[in-house]
Amino acid sequence: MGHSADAAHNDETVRQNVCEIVGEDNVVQSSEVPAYAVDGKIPEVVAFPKDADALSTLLEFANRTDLSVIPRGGGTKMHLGGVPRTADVVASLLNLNRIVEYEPADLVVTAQAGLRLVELQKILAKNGQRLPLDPPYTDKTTIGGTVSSNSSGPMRYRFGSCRDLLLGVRVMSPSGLVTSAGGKVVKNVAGYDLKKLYIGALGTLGIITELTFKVYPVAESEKTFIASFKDTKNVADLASRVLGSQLLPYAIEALNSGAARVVAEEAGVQLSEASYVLAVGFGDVDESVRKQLSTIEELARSSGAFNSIVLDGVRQESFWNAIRNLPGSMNRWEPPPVACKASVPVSRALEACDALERLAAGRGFDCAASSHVGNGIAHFYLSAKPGTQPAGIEDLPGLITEARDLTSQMGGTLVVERCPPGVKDVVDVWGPTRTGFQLMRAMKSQFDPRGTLSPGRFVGGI
Amino acid sequence: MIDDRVLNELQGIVGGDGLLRGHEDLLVYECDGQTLFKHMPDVAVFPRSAEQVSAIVKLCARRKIPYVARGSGTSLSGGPVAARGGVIICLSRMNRIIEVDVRNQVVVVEPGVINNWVTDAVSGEGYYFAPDPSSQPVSTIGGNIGHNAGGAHCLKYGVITNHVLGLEVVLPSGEIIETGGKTQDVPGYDLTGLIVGSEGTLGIVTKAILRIIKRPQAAKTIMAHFDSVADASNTVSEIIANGIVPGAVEFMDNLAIHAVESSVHAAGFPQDAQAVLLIEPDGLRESLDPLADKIVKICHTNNAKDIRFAQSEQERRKWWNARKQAFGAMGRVSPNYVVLDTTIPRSQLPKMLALIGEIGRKYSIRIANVFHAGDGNMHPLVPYDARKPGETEKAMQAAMEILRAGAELGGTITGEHGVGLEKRQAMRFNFTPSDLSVLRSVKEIFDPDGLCNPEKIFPSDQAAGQPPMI
Repeated sequence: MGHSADAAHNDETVRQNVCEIVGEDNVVQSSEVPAYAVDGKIPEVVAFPKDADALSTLLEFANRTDLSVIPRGGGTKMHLGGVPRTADVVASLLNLNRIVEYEPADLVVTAQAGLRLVELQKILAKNGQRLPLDPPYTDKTTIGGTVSSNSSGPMRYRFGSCRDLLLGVRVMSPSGLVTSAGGKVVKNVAGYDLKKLYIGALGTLGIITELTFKVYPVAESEKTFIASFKDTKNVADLASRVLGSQLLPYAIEALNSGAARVVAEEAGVQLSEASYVLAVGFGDVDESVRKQLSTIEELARSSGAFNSIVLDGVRQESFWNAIRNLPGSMNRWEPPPVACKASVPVSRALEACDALERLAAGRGFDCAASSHVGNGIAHFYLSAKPGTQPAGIEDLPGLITEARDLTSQMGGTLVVERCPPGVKDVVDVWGPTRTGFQLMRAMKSQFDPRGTLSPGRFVGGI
Repeated sequence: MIDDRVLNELQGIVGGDGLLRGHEDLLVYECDGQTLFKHMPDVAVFPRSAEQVSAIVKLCARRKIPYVARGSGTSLSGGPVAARGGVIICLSRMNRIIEVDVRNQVVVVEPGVINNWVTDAVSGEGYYFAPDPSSQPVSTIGGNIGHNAGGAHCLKYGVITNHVLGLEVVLPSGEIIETGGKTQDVPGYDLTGLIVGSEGTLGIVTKAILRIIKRPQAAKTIMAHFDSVADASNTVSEIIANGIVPGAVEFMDNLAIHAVESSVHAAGFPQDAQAVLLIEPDGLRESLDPLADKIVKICHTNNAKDIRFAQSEQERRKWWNARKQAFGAMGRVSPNYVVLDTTIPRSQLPKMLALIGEIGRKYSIRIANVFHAGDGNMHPLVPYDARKPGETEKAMQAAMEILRAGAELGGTITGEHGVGLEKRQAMRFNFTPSDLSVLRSVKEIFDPDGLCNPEKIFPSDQAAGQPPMI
């Protein structure tokens, strides 16, 4: 009893059909649907399938009737990517939230995609373990959403990002068929490493329904060293000395004054007014952490830091949370700043931050910046300077393009992570495509021939 | 298939000294370290640039000639073998280190560069290239990438895919593409991650951007000797469960110890031990004593008979060398052997060792075990004598049973050696028909004509678990 595409595209029919598939209780009230708009595109229906079978039936239906489907987890990354060409059905994974298998002795955990990362961490913490993945929106983000958006945080310096921590996935194709890639062991070269393709793909190749991660023991002792600087050159000096030393930090994060103010306020930690702050997190046996702290204090003094503090316990925790959650804190501003992520060769991270800040200032924008210095990644947030003639939306595309040129001259890339949909019409948030793009497009057509999944959100309009 | 015109064209591409075609010359290219699978190529070529590789691939595509990329040929699964004849593209002359960029913690190399050379190029600055397959003095980066090679220290430092930032690849269409780069999180699907470990079936890597890391300040190498295999494997589980992640945890059983100790690589491992563990915590000097104390305690709780610390860097190297030469030393026990690399969840080690023992008894084969215990990556060595009728088949049958047993315990059929020709029929232990069809569809996107290292990875129509046709 096939549905014709025309019949299905009638709003009410779509809703009815989806209600039949996932149950009326698992469909969002019409009045609440606009809250699930993706870049301004209001879906026809928002469903919360109760399990993988219901999701599979829903997908199969949508695929057959030419309805587009946008998968959603905690809803914290819906601003990523291009404006979807269509957004007929938003499919939430939040009801797929079980731990499937956890064997602490193996340091491996398998869970469903809709499980919130914070819930997973609580379970791991009972065994003194954690998944060292600390993306923004720590409380809300799901593990599936984190991987689908290739989200990460400061700890990637030591532990890597999703591609280093993910061991296996189960993925649902647009026709509702589930296949596996990878496995549950830490070394695995059987077949192609397909799981890499799904990381950061925003669900364009399939919807991840289950993930297996390797996890790590939490160190015996964890402490954070924070140094404040008046001069950008000095912070760069300390960062490069730490990187070139035998210190083994978990994370090395630099914050410019704009970002440091927000972090200090959110974390309730007193930081001296500085042009730059460098935070270095350590974790190891106690003896080693103590030794590392005394080494870095020495390095910081000789690099020209004018002040330093050491945090541990709850204050340390809230400090790093404030850094991770910077995108969310910034987004509460009115109007929300434009968020970009620049990725440059490791040694040039602070140079990039500095240059971007100057560029923004010259165009009438404030720039808050935080950088995973050891990974060459800088997140920056642009907002019109208060008191000046408000720089309008029309100035943003030009600024973004200049910022992108600047990073590309440094051998890097720039992705716009959040901006008004209107800007996305003018600027490609992902930047130019490269050689190999034809292959990516071929993969999309192979995996999703009808273009059902997140159409238009990924690189090059995939 | 390969006529004089093709040969002339190939010669035109690589020059007079870049081509081998005599039967004697080609014998070396007949197989890899897994000597069961022998296939003669028609010709071997030695390009010097990505452009030459591209021209060769385009010629092969035009004339529908299969081709296979090859490095040093040290692989152990029959990967770089010309299963359908054709052209061996040997990358040994593309062996330049193109760029050493310590500030950005990367080294850019051609695929023929030997693994150890990368570390040699940066060790002066205190850096090293972490992936350390036992073959590292001779194996190439290209081959390491093809197999997503591991090594003894992956427990803490990961396998090669964690250390490759970008690639230049000649696709089966002849197009040269670049993936990834010196930077992280390059937008787009992670083609670098897909191509690493694809056993040269999706294209030919002609350049790689490798990540180097600081060498740990110090390491402490502990040798613990046990009267029972179960005690040794429980020790491994307990170390990990106690939140300790040493740089390496290696396991050798009695048969392997004997093989090593009767070879030139003898390092003084106790020959009466049923199992020896090499445990190596590394990191800051200050962290080593507390970690070693904990490890020693755990060893004692599990009835370790003797515990020794390497007294010098020289002794440490001697121990590691003995461990890394263990496969070779098996040659003294038996003229031939199959080495597997099944990887299982760590907690299943005792059960898996018992199963391997059972399979050995069933086939009356003494199977040796030497492996990376920290990450559950086992290396059962199944000896046989190819000169005796039926022994080869029996060994392969036993090998298949081991792979099946590992998969049933939640493991993979291959942790670091690759599927190649050897483990094709075992793929179904890990993958459903739907999983396999997704993998096949990726192969078809890259290589619709099926000329790029054909016959590898995917099972033939033979029943699952049948030993592969030799």
